Amino acid sequence: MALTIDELRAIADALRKAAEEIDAYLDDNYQKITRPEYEFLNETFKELIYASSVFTTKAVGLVIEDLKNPAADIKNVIDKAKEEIKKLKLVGDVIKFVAGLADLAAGIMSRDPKAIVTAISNLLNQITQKKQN
Amino acid sequence: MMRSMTQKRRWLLAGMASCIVVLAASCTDLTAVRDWSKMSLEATQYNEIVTTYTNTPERLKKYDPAKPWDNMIADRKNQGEALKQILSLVSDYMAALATLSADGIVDYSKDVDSLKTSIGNLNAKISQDTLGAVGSLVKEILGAVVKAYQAKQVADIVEKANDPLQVILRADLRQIVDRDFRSDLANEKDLLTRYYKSFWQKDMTSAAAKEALGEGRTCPAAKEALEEWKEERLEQNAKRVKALDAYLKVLDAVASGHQKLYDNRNKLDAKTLIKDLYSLVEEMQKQITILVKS
Repeated sequence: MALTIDELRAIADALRKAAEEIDAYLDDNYQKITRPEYEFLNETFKELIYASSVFTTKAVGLVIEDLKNPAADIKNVIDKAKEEIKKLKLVGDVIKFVAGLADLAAGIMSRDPKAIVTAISNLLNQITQKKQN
Repeated sequence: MMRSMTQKRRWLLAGMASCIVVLAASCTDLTAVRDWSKMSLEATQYNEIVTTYTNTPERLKKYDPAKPWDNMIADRKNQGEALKQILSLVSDYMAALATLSADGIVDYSKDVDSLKTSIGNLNAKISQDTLGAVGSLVKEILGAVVKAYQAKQVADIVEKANDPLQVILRADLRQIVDRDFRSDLANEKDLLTRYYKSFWQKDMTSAAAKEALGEGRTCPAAKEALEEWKEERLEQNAKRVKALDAYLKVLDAVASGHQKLYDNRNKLDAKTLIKDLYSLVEEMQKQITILVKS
């Protein structure tokens, strides 16, 4: 059974703690042990640190796998946002063809409040509908 | 008759003014959203923290050259690229949000001006003043309509992006930085400290060794130099840890800000939201300064 991310991290931490205990032992006892004993413990310390780094690397690898789905979701949202930005920038072009704009101007010219209100409402509908197309 | 025409004009202008006031009231000011997005974009472009992680095996190789670090170097290089791509996605999202909330994203002034010209050409009796007034009114109304649509689009993408963004920022990415990158720097600190200590400790093992070597091979001056280099390396390590802490605060500010946008997506210019967003902008600015100095 494969190890989980939390298990990999727990192992990495445990390996480093074991290394730190050896480090503390060496600090307290280096003058009391023989050279070969010192070298052996020093090497063991380095092995534990190396192993801890290996498990940290494995844990990060698994998390990156987990990040694939939310990353894909964000990409979809970005693509949609870019589409909306393009549409908004094109509003200037669209407005030329929006009949409601001409009606609005005509309503204002005619000084007819009802025509103005109707024209504003139609303009709103036309612009938002064009965006959805 | 003149009097009734003036009165009619007054009513007309009052009516139009009311329409504009109503439309303007329904307009959402997206300035705070834009400013927060731009700061989040700047903050998430900082990816030195990933480079520090991917380069760790290269640095540790100096202190323990016998280990097969090259395999780890290759794995971390791939991981670094993947992490930078994810950070880049978050930056891209913030850039899109900033653009979508920007003022002046739509420029239709030329179209309104050309419409005025067309109307003027059709009806020569219309005065320039009236045409000017019509043009201004149409621009105001269009502006209000477009702003309302813009706010709706911002709310829409904030709603769609919030869940995956929170997973990335609050859970996975945050854990990588807080647990794995931190663990890595702790390994580096332990390894380099032992490396410098072992130079002189190994020569001081047992009285017999001391006697044989004559108070050890390592002279006081060399020991002092070793101590200095060790302190320098430890200082660099401490700076990296500080950068890590600053980066976590950045991730938290971005996640928190976006959650607040999501919670207030139907009222993106609410006073409390604006206040919160600008407070997060300040926090991010502070942390970016720390990141840049580290």
